[in-house]
Amino acid sequence: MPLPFRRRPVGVAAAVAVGLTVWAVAAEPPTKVAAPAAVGFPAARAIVVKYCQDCHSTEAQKGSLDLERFDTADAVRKHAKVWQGVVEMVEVGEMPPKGKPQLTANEKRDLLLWSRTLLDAAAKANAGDPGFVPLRRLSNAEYDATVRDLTGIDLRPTREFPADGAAGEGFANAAEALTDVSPALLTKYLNAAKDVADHAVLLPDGFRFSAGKTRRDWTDESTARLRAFYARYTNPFGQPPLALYLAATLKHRAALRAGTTTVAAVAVAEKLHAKYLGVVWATLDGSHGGEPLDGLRGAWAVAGPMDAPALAAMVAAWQAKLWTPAAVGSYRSPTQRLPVEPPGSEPKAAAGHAAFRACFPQVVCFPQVVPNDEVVSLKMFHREDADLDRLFLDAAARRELDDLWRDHRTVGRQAEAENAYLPQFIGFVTQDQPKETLALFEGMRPEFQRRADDFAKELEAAEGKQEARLLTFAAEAYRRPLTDREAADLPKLYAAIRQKGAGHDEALRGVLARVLVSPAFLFRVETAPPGKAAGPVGDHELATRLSYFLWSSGPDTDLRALAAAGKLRDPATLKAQARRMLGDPRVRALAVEFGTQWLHVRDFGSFNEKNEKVFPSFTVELRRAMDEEGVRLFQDLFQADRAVTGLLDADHTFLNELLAKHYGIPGVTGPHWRRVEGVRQYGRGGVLGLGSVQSKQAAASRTSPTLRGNWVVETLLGERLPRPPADVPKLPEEGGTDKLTVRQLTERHSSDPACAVCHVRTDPYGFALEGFDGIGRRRAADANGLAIDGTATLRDGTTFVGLDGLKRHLLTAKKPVVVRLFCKKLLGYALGRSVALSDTALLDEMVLALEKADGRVTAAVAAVVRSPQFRTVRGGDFDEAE
Amino acid sequence: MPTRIVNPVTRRAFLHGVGVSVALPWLESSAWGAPVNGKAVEPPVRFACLFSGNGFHSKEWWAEGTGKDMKLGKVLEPLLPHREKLLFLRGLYNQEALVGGIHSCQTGNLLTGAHLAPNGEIKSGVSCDQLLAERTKGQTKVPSLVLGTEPSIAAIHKNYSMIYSSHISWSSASTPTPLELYPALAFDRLFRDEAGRADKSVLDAVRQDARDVKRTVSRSDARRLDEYLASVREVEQRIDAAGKGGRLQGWRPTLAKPDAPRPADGVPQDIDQHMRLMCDILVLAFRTDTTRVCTLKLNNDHSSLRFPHLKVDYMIHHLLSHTDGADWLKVNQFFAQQVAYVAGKLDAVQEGERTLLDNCMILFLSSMMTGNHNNDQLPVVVLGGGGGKLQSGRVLDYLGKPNRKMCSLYLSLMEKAGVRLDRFGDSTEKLAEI
Repeated sequence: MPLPFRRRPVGVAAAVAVGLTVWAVAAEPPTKVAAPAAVGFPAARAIVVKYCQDCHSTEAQKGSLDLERFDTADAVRKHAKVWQGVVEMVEVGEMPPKGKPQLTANEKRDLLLWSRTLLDAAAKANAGDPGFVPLRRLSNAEYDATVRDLTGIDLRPTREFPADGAAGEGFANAAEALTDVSPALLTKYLNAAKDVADHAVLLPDGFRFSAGKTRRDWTDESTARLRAFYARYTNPFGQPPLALYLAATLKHRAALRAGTTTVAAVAVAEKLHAKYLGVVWATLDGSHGGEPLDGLRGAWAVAGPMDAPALAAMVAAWQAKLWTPAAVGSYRSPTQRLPVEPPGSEPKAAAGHAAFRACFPQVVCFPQVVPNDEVVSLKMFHREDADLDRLFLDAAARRELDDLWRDHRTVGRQAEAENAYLPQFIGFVTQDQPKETLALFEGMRPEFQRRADDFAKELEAAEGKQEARLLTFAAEAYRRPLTDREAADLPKLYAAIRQKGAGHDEALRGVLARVLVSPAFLFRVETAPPGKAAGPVGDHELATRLSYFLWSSGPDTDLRALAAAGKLRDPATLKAQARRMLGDPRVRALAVEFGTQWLHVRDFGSFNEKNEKVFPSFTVELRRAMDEEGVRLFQDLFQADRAVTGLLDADHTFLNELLAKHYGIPGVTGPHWRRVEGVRQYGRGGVLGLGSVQSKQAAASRTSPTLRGNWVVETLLGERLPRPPADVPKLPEEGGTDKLTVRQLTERHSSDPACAVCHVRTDPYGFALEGFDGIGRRRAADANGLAIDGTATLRDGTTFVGLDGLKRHLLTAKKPVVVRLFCKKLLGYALGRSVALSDTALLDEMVLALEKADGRVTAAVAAVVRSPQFRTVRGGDFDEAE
Repeated sequence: MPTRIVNPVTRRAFLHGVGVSVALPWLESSAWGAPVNGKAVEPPVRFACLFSGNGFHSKEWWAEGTGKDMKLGKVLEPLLPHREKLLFLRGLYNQEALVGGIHSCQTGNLLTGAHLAPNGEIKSGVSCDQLLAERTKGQTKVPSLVLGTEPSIAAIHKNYSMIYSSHISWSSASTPTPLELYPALAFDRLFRDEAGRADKSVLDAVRQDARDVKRTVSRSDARRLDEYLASVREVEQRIDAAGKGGRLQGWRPTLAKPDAPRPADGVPQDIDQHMRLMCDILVLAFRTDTTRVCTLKLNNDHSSLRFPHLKVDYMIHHLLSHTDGADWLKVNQFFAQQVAYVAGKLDAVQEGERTLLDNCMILFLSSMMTGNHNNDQLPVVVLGGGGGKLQSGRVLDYLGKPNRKMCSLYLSLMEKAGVRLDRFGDSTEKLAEI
């Protein structure tokens, strides 16, 4: 069993930073240029030549950047993306570098104005471009989910794979981060594929998968399935809950007799099996059979529902008289109960006894499945359920039971094993036994041999069906119908492996492994239309895009059927499917891979960077609970189609007792998860209330307004901040030595003007969050008893106080920015790439769709899936080098 | 800013060039291991790179003097016993790493010298260790070993993917070589010949798949499928070689089979044990000549390791690097101890007239001088004699010299390992005096 990895990624403990906002595809809506550009290309170029081209000439190419080639406006248009990078550097103030001549305010304004106009036009010209999305392998999360849905077992084969990195908009599903197919990884894929194949359990009509890999595991599992089936009807000894049946007949006797209800309706109401209830009712309400049924009927006729146990005891007493137990473990008896006539019975009483037995067998089946009534058992499994069948089962249930037994015989190899064991058994049990015993078992030899032969034939007959199942399995794994060639090649491979001397089992597993290491499974292959122009992706490819976007897994039966029928490309169907899928529990993958990854708290359970002496309660259990809260927040957002703004101002959250105690929220007991309303008063609800976020954006032993502020600025507002300067003095790890709060220390640190330019952008947001301690608990004072000051004053003079003030600010003045950033992140996740200039119109559309739908998230998802970006792919001759 | 790629050498170029198409299964190789004119050739030169993230103590990374008289700063004190086999290089730098000035954009190109693509793209260049592996493929069972102790971080930091912080080895410009973090799996990769009866047929069939798929996808995707195909081929070759036993002739390593048991599954709870196991595997790989190229990333740049065994667990490695205090020094020394441990183990193995360490080039470096991200000169030390071609026991100062490029150092080292190149990364000339 692979062990989980111990130390996990930290995520980014970002340092201090400063910057100006970045426009274009960043969080803020595109700036409207009031007047047509008064600045022409020559003026813009002159500025670049003057300030940039010394280093970024064709000759010098500092930072691999050649600006000299931009000698016409067309050249800029052609490489708009490069130009966009230039503009960002100038706008943020990173370029020209310190110590070099700087642009005047007017020059900067002119350069930016001209560039914006040009880039806006470029964005419009390329709107809807599907973009460059290189061939990508499945991410680890996708691989695990895909295998889970293919096999029905959560095997998580990637546990010991290298962790995925992030690219694009910061997600691990980004194509750029998923191009590795090194021999080392391929070896892991091969081993994982073989391991999954080893979990296959071969059955008469195909195969299924099991959590285990040995025949013993599979047999135990199969036995458990049979026991679970019987448990629907009886107790572990094969006895139905007779008192309940009797009680139901008593309780509804009048209504049944009056015809105002039916046996079927009573069965539903009382959660009993209709067929047997009918038999019991007909017997007790009837008149056939004589004694002992007549006596029972007499008592029943005057009984009320409370008397059911007494009636059941009467039945049990008779059962004890009319049956005797037998041992089945050595085949000496065909059943575990043999009918007997009580001593001294009249011969004519036999008919009545038989009638009683027919309605009230002492046991109706052998739910133990494995006999243990003999010291040495010859019989591996014992099937006895004729009475259950007769009294309880309808056709569907009977088929299910038959199938379970058929599978069980194959998995357990009973006939083969028993035949092989018989001689040894005979030698063992016939010691000190009469000759007749020996003869009895010797006489069984031909029968055992026949059964073993029949079984071998069955196995052989099953081989064809298992091979056929390989083809449907491969089609599911490849997420599309097989090509003729593939359908022919898989059986060929099977034959080739057998030719090497492998048995059926080994060859079948070989082919299974081959399917799981095929590029069609490992990669999200998309057929490119000829030429350079974009064209629609295929039906199955569209289904695949949709299912990996929302579920991180392959398309399910519904999606495959719609794709096969060519219906998925219909926008209404696509939207309906997206809605259906968002409501499905599998959307948890979206919550984890998109939601928590966006907030930098994915896999928070593994975050162990706190000083255990300062925060002893920050245990792995607490971290896992914090992780779960974040996941459920996003899962609820998508599954219940809630408003995006709820991510900030929700008044509910998801808690178990451990987390509620950590948060100081009363009235939550027990380890199970539940939605809790009215948590705003405790500082919870939404992403800012997540303990994981507040803990992550803090130091090991204290809070860090800078880290939290930086997180708000980058993660919620999407502003790009330049890197921190070198030689930044550090705050002491454990504040309080000078009797100053962390806030005061931070302020003193940033009072240096060189530092202040940075901190003024981030710290105020962090100050507003000082009401959370280093592991996300609410507090009014710090560890030294100094009062917390949550007042924030932004650069532009805006002032607010504390968490609620920050939320209000984000939901009013900054709402368009926050909503647009959410859309940008969601789009980047959906497409698996960075959001580009050409996506500007789509972002506008997503924002508008949200507005129209009161912010409900499905509107944004729908806008994504109907976009050309989502439904088309670049032409095959479009090269990645733009 | 996405711009043109400085290093245009792609993995595919190798695959279509010297790599896959002409590579022979390792045991049939005629290069290093085979006799020339009836005389056994010298033992091969091995190359290892041990990386430590976040730089070192600002005052204590220095060396002066030569040979026995060499004095070392406190960080390097653990290496004092090996000073006569140590080369201290001062003033080297990597031009492309100056661009971003933050962790993520100065580590991903440490061994490539390439420009790193920002904005959520992933592009560096082929790293010198992987280039070496590619060019010498077929001479050992495993072309190269890439080990680590910390998983990759899935995030974008300051506009650069953190993939750059966790990968210094790149098998192509867009493919960071995955790090093996599990000692047992690294051991398996070296020594386990586990091929099942069906494996060959399976891989063979899968190769046909890739060729079919290639016909339907875009040109750029077809290139990626080429990489997949090459990987399939390499795994197949390894399976082929697995059953065939040892070398037929020529130089033989001192150890035929591992003399240590397979490490336990999973990852050790304590970082010191984890590093020690990885060091042991490196040594074992070289002693058995299972590979001749190994990169061991002792931690991530931007590392979150803590060091309970040093009683420094109140702060993670990255934040500690900004303190520059006594505990930071202690942690630095712990990393240097790993290098000293490897050097000591290698020096204890006699290969003919020299020790295994004499036949190695062990590069120990970081992607910044100190925790403040300053990388206008990098901390670099080389241990070993490069098979007699590397004159050690010296301190070389390149500060102020016209050529002080890391890529020039790599050109020099690769040449000693038998791979002569005209250019690598941003350099076209070797480093003087090496």
